[in-house]
Amino acid sequence: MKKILVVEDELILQELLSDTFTDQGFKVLKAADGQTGLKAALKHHPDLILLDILLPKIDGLTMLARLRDDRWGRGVPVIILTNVSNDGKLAQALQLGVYDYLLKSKIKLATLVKQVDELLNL
Amino acid sequence: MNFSNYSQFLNFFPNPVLVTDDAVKIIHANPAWEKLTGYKLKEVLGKNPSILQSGKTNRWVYRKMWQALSKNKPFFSEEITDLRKDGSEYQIFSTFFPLQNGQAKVYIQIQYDITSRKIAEKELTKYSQELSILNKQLNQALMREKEVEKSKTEFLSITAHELRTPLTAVCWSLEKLCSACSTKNWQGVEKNYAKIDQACQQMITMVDQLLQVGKLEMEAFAPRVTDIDIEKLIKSIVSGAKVQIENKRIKFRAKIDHNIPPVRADVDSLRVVIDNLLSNALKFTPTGGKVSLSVSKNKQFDYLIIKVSDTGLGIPKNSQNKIFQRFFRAANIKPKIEGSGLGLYITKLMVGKLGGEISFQSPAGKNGRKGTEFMVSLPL
Repeated sequence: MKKILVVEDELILQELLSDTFTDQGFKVLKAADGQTGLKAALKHHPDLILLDILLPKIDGLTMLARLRDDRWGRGVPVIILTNVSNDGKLAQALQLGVYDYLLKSKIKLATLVKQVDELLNL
Repeated sequence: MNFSNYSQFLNFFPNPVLVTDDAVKIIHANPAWEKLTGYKLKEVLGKNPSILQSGKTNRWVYRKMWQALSKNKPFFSEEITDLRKDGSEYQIFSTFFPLQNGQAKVYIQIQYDITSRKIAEKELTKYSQELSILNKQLNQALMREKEVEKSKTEFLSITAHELRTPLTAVCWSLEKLCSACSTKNWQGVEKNYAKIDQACQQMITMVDQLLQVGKLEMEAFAPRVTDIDIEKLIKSIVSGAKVQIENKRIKFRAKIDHNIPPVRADVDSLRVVIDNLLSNALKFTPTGGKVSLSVSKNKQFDYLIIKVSDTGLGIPKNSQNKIFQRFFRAANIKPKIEGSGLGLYITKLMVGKLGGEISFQSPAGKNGRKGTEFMVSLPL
C-alpha cells in the first residue's frame, strides 16, 4: 500500500484530502504543521507528500528545503497544494524540485487523484 | 581741479558718496547718500563717519581699510552694515579712495546699496528653509500613505486567503457529495453536507467580521444610543451560547448585579463586545472547564464593569502585546481551533467607540495559574 503524507493545517481540508486518498486505497499520514510534517516524512518515508505552504512552526517551503538535505528526502516526490499564488514562492518551490504547484481553490479532487495515480504509476 | 569741482561732480553721481578729510571728519556727502541714510549733509558735516556704525560689520573690514588707505591704496570693502538716521539698518559695499587735494588728503567712499539684495537673499533663505520643511512633511505624508496602502494590500491578501480556505472546503465537499450521491452512500452525503455547512458558517462569520472591521475603520460607524437593560441582553447572549456550553460540559456562571441602571449605549456594539468575549472564553476553555461572566457597577465612578473569565489556554506572555492586532492569533492556539484573528481587534475598536476600555489578565484566577480574564469598563 502506497503512503501519502498530507501536511495541511486547515483541518477541514486535511480531512477531505485524507478521506479522498484513503478511499482510493492509499495509507494517509497527516500533519498540521511543518515541524511535525518533516518528522513524519523522515520517519515513515511516504511515497508522496502533499504540502501546504502557509503552515505553523515551519512553513512548507522551509520544511521542503530541510527535507531535500536528507539523503532519502532528496528524491521524494512533493506536490505543493496551496492557496498562495505568488511567483516568488512558485520559483522557490520549482527550485526545490517539486513535482507540481497546485492552487487548492482551482483544483478538483478528481483531477488531483488522477495526477497522483499517474505520478505513482498506478 | 579743486575739491569743490569734485563735489559738484559727486552731486550728480548716482551712487551714494561720502567724503572725509585727513582727520576722518565728514566734509561732503552727495544727495544719493542723503537719500540712503536720511541724514542731511549739514547734520553730519565735521562728524566722524563712525556715527553710522551699527556694530554688525566685521571689525577686520575697518582694519584692512585703514591698512590700505594709509598706504595710499584704494580699498574695496566687504559687506558693511550701517545705520540710517531713523536707526534702521542698511547694507553697502564700499570703495574707498585716498585722494590728494593739494596739501590735504581726502578719502572718498563710493557706496553700492545692497540692502534690497540682502533682504531678497534673506527671504530666499527663509523660503528655501520653509520649502525644505514642507518637502520633509510631504515625504513623511507619502511614507504614511505608503504604509497605509501596504497594510490595505496586506489586509486584502490575508482576507482573500482566509476566504479561499472555506471556499475550497465547499468545492471539494461538493465534489465528494456528488460522488456519494451517485453511489448512494448516504453516510458520505451526510458527512460532506456537514463539512459544507461548517465551511459556510466559517465564511459567514468571516464576512460579518470583515464588514464590521470595514465600518469601524472607515469611521462610518454611527452608534444608535438607547437605554439597554443589561440583564436582558446578557440573558439573550448566554442563550445563544447554550449549545456550546452544553457540548463542552462547561461550568458556566453568570453574575449580574441587580441595581444596575439602564445602560445608555449602542446595543449592537455592546452585544458584539460581550458575545466575542464569551465565545472566545468558551472556545479556548477545554471540555469540563469553567467560564464566568459578571456585570457590576463601579460604585465610586459611574462605570459598568463586565468581566469574562475562563480556565482555558491562557495567553502566552510573548503574545500579550499583540492580541488586539488585526489577524493576530496567539502562538499557543491549535490549528483545529477556528478563528479569523479579527474578534478581539473588533472588540477593542467597539469598546473604544463606546467610550470604554478593555484590559485582560493572563494567567488569571485565584491561584493565578491558568486561564484569562477580560475586563471591559464602560461609562454609564
